[in-house]
Amino acid sequence: MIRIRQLRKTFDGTGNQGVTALENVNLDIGRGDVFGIIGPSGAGKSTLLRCINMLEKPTSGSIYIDGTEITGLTKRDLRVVRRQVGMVFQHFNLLSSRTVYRNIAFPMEISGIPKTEIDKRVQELLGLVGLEDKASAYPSQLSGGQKQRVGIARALATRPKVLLCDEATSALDPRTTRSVLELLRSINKQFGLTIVMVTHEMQVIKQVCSRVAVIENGGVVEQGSVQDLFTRPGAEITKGLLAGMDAAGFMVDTSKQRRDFEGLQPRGKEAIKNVG
Amino acid sequence: MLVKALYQTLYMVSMSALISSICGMPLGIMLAITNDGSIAQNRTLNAILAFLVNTTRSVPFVILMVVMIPFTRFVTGSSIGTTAAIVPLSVAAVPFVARVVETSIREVDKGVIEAAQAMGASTLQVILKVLIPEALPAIIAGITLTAVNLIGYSAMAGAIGGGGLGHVAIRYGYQGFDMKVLAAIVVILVVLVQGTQLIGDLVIKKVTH
Ligand SMILES: Nc1ncnc2c1ncn2[C@@H]1O[C@H](COP(=O)(O)OP(=O)(O)OP(=O)(O)O)[C@@H](O)[C@H]1O
Ligand SMILES: [Mg+2]
Repeated sequence: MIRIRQLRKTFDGTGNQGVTALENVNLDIGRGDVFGIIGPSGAGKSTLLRCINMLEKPTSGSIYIDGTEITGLTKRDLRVVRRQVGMVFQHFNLLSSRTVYRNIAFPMEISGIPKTEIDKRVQELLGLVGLEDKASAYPSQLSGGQKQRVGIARALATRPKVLLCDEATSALDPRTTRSVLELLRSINKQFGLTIVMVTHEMQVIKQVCSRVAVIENGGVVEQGSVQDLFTRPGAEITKGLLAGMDAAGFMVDTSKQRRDFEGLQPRGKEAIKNVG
Repeated sequence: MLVKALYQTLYMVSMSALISSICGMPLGIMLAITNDGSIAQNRTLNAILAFLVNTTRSVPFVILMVVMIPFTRFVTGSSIGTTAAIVPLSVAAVPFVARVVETSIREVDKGVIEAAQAMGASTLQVILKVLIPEALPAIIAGITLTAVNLIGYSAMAGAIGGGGLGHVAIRYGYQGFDMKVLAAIVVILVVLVQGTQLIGDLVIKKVTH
């Protein structure tokens, strides 16, 4: 489904030394995989994901999506490819001026899909993510979990073949994280959608991914099935990431406690206990 | 007399607010999107536009009115009168609107723009469906501010033949020592400014979600 070869990405830094964010990255992501990309902060995970829909232009190397090489496409062709690749963001990135309904309609609107068809699809998606009653709400009136459900519905609107998620659950509390991950997994099962998931939390990998690549300093240090990774971690960094998980299977991450807890007190308290 | 002056002031202010918004908006949008790192980065165009805007902004309004006389005569057929005053008022307000709109657009969340691009939006679609709607409350706040400033400027234009409240204030208040007229005009101007701000705030509230 996605084939990445000798991908290299450097950023021009201030002064004459640039930053090499990715170096000789090779990856094969199969159709229907939930593929995790994990690694420490600054490893290049986001950069790698953003290269897959050309939000970041690779310095060299090639990326194939469904056999199409996307690095050399014209702007127009790239827009067509982008409609087949959905993206879900850590901070949701919803349009604050639009209702839930119109946010989900947005990608279809810009692809010129007729109104009646858009309406049908939006109703369908609202049902899929369980937000039928929020159609006319604005993003500011939603909890983090609900916002991310809108983000997911929006990403699925044009029936993409691939869904890219960059830390899609990192702004959510553990309980909401689980429900959003469950949603993603059911979408994967139901539609056979390929999902690429960037995270720095092993728990996320454990819960939904089938395959995983560990990256560090801009390079892939290990890749394979999630089971293998957990039972026979090879690289030091993988062992480190696994050690960071506590007994309950949650990442030890105190920064979670200051994040929002869906505004629901009982849930919030339970979530704090889980973080322990 | 005061009613007619009020009517003239309202006419000058609303027309020049309208014209400067129509001209300033596209200019502000161009300034914002040609900026480094924005969706249509273009250093040359940005520098040219910024130079034009800054030059116009740095000319004091009183001088601008005089400099503009030939142009005003060309556009309206006369260099004196209420309609003629609209020309320098609009020209003075365009760069102001442009800067306000530019700032509003630049404050739109980068992530939201990126999300639209990731969905395959073209540059024009990003402008029309993301930048303008998302920046709308800030843009309306800026246009309200422009209208308030124009009320002040229009009084100045009135002093040199544009008619309106400024004219009456100079003629009857300053030269004729009629304190009652002067006081009445101050009250009217205060009400006008407050009313403009009130309407602006109401509209902003309506478009903010
Ligand atoms: N636009 C940019 N300009 C310059 N350098 C950048 C840019 N984006 C990323 N980098 C650099 O590239 C490297 C990889 O960044 P990236 O955001 O991909 O890391 P990450 O693995 O996603 O980290 P995190 O877990 O913190 O999100 C970092 O050193 C970062 O500073
Ligand atoms: Mg990142």
